[in-house]
Amino acid sequence: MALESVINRRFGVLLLIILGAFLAISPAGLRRPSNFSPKELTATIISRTAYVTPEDVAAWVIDKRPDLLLVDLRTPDEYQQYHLPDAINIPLAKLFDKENLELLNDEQYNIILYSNGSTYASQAWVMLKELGINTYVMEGGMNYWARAILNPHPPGDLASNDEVSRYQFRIAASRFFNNGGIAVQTAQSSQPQPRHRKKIIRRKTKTADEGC
Amino acid sequence: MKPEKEKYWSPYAAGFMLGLVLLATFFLMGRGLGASGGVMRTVTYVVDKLDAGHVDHNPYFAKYAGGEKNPLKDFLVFEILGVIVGGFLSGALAGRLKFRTDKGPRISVRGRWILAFLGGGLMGFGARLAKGCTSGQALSGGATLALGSWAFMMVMFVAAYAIAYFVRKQWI
Amino acid sequence: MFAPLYKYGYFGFETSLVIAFALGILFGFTLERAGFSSSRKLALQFYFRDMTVLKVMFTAIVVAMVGLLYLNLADILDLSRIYLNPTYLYSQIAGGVIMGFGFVLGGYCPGTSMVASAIGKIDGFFYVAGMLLGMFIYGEVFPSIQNFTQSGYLGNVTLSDWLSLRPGVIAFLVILMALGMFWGAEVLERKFSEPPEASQQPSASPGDAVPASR
Repeated sequence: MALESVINRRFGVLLLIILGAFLAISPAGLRRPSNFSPKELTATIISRTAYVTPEDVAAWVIDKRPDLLLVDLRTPDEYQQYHLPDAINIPLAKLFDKENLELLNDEQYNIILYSNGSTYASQAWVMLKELGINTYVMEGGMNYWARAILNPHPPGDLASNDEVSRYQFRIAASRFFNNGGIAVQTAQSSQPQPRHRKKIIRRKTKTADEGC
Repeated sequence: MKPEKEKYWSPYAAGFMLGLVLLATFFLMGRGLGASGGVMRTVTYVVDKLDAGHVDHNPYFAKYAGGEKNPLKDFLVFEILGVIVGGFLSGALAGRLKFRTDKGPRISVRGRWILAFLGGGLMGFGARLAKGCTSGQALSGGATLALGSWAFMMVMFVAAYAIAYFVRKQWI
Repeated sequence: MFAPLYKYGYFGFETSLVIAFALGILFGFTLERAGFSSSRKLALQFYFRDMTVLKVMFTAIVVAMVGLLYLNLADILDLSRIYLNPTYLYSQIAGGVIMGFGFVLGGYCPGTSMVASAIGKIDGFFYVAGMLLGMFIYGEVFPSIQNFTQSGYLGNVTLSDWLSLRPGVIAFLVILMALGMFWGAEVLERKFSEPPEASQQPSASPGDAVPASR
């Protein structure tokens, strides 16, 4: 009987060590539920419902919409040079760090991604969608914004009414965003600290006090 | 004196079973077990019945029973009820149901009661300060590898060992 | 992934309360079977004579931890939906010290005191009474110490985050540590323990003439 318990113990210990060693080399604990469904994604991409125009964004910023969250996916240097008012900077390389993902609270905010063009933002959109985070992409990105909003060009003679009103909007917007000046300023004065928009940290656990 | 019908399980077997129960709780509910929270809610319930205004004005009580909230409608409260029933069942089946006081040989029963009361008081206070007790923080927090829970667990054991010498008369 | 079931909506709140009750029964039953309804047995842990507390606790933690990780690995359990105790470092450490004292003084922890009271331990009743009072006092004192209770807030941090190691690695280290502690516990027990009959007998009953001896 004593022998039996010794064998049981040795077996138990060995089993535990093997289980543990396997865990150590595996991605255990890191797997997430995947929402990947190619058909849905493609349909959404084609319908372009996830895109917003810079004019839209400008209007929302001017309106000071509280549910707006602009995410600048460029490098910190580019962000420092100029960023959209109240945008937070999450370089694409760091987008999937835990702290940054927690900031992307799509239940509380309408998240709008932008980069220099549309590429990074679009790619980030797909990846975030797979994680179950819904976002929008600002079409044309910073390049378009700089040309259209900050330095709008008057439309040609053959322009349609649409284009003319769009131009008028851009002129007004450019005044707003340039603070009356013409070109882009460096070292943005507004320096919105991301801190003052502290999001709900764990956006998934909404249930009250699950502690003990 | 009636001998006990059934001895205790081997600690590893009991631990294994406990681990399974804990795992089942995580699997089913997405949270672990706990104890002190349920007790706290009961306290809040009683205070609320006696003086509802007091509860509403105290930020800690209000979290559980402020306004119209019923503090008893909670996972932990029902779990604790189950714990009492389960403990009773086990004791009954093992012939361990008996009114008695556990203590060491060098202390009186009254003395033990007083220390039990004091210890309980400390535990009650400390459990809320640590936001959990051994069930909630050590077991559940330990299994999920929460940093604060492990810190709590280590500190608790060290503190207990540290003071054990000074109260050894109670137990050995 | 379809677990945790409640978070995926397999059943509602009311059902969860029933489940809580059922799990509680299993929990209490196991605690009592482990011998945790006896304050003396629990306290002897801290005199190295009966290391049951350590063995049971760490076995349970290891089993649950390994289970969680394997369920996650098998794409069954979504760990991000599992409640993680937030870390309030200073508050928890202070609470841990107080609880350490309370454990040795009182001989129980909140969960085991319930089990003990359920089978008639009078010292358990006193403990529970004290605990209720202690919690009430905490509530009363809370407004003045509120800042301290939130101090050292590090968020929902795990050992894995803190040490920047994968959870699987941490689990392996925990297993090794637990095995080491079990081995140590066996050694200490053999060195210090009393003969088995003494530690399983009730120590004092109202009707007893002779108090239990060593």
